[in-house]
Amino acid sequence: MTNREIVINAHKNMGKADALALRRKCVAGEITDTEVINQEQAIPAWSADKDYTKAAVGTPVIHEGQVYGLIQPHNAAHYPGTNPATLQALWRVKHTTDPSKAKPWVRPTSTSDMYLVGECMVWTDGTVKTALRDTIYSPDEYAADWK
Amino acid sequence: MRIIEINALENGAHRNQDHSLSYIPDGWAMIPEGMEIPETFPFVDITADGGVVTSMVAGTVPDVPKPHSEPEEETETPVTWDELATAYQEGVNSID
Repeated sequence: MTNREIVINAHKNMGKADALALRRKCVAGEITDTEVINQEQAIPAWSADKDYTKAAVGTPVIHEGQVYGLIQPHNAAHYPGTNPATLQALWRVKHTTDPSKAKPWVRPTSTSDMYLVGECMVWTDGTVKTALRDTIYSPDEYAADWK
Repeated sequence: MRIIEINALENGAHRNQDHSLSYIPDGWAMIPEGMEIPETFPFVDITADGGVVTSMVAGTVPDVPKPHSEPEEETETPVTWDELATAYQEGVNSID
């Protein structure tokens, strides 16, 4: 094995180990959403072809920059044309309290994916806003919920 | 005085040295003071008589053998940051 191969393989193994460790913590509920997003480089990309039937609740995926946790195991291939953003019954979007890691605003569908106090998002005008209270409303709908 | 061995070595060079004794060892001859020394010295052709060099002309300097060179090691292309990041991501995405 060449040195190049050794180094490349070591990084692959590192990525795999980090991903497995992060997933374990997510499934066990040992890590906050903020911490998960802080390690999003170790989150596997969501795949439309993947069978998540045997995946544990809490399994994290990343799709188009947003991080999600599995709510309901399922086979993604059975939902063609969808993705975690459009299947809120199956995936819960994660939010962060770190303004430097804030993700674009995602309209909550219910209290299960609402923005909790302290959580941040990037609003449509590009500014980072922090929830002053648990809210499902956008800054346009209820400015008092955001700063 | 400087003395020179009359018979050359295998490579054509003559052994030579400064000599302070009054006698000349067998097989050696004295180089007279003022004798013109060729640039190729000690690769020279000499004649000697009675322990004294009578003529000295330039000899053939052998070619210097090329040093044995090891075959050049194939250098690997350095790994780039992008490749490392891609490898890491492949590992991340490889989990079941």
